[in-house]
Amino acid sequence: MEQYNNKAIASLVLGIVSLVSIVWSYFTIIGIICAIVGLIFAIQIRKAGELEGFRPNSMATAGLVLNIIGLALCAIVLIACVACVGLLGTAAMFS
Amino acid sequence: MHPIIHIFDYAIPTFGIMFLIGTGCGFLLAIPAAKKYQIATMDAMFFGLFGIIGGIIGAKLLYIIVDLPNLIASPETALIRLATGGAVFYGGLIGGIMGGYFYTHIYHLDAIHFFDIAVPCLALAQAFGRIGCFFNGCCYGIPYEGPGAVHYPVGAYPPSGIGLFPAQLSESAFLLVLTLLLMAVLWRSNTPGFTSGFYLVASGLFRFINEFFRADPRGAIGFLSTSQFISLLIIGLGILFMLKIPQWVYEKHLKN
Repeated sequence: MEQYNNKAIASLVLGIVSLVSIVWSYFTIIGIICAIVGLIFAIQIRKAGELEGFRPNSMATAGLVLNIIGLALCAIVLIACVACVGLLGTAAMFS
Repeated sequence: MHPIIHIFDYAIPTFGIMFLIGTGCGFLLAIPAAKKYQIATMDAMFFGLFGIIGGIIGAKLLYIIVDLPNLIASPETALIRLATGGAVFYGGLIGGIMGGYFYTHIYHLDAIHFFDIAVPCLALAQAFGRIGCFFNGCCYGIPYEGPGAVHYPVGAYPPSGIGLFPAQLSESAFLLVLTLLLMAVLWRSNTPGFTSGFYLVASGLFRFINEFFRADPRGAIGFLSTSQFISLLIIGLGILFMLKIPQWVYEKHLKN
């Protein structure tokens, strides 16, 4: 249980960092990385709770929610028309 | 047309907003879709999140691979370019599939069932993404003056002053219809993997045809555009899914 508590705290902190990083555009990539790592921790705790039969604490739930919001908001700033960029990139690779 | 929306002091890309709305709707659609194979809603959501995580990592990795010579040539701007933009769609697609597969692998779930419930959600998200393209002005159509022709204003990315075929909206409308069709196929089909195959064939076929009505500058491989070439590969993969070959390989070698 101790390791899950530590992961829950880490997930919550990473979620907060990802949300804060939205304010500065150059830091959104750091926000995305934090949100991804935090989200993986939060999902691990949820699944472990389901498989081992314990209820994840509220910090883990808060971490999950904050990381999802952080990932979505960071992605919205960073994302462009990926399909167009993708086509140009693939064409460059083949030419 | 409206590539950027200003909220307070922030300039937010319309494409990003539409893509986010599409992703949200896709996640909502996953709730009824997951009932087909009695998959827990939490598992369906986490599969989607792993897919998104894999997609972001894959898109960025392929961008780095494709753009490596330029990144090495100008290292002083490389970090800024990496931080502010650059994503390759097909890297995202492959990464998304790998991310979703990874989730099913570590928790001993059936990946084919998860792919089946994911495809209607993906089609819905894509439909919203294409509306984002329309607002952005990218992926525009050939000159056309019939009903529904789009006239972009002066200063927009597509050529202004002439009517253009609404290639983005036609694809979006098709994808919305395809979402409904996929839900019907998912409920009626008794073959795991058939819905995924149907999506790959239908979307690949439409994309192949729709490319003839697009005029935006994009790459070409031989006499086909890059996406038409990839569409052919996608149609081939879809036919394999309909013939149950990937399902057989998965059951034999990859399933836990």
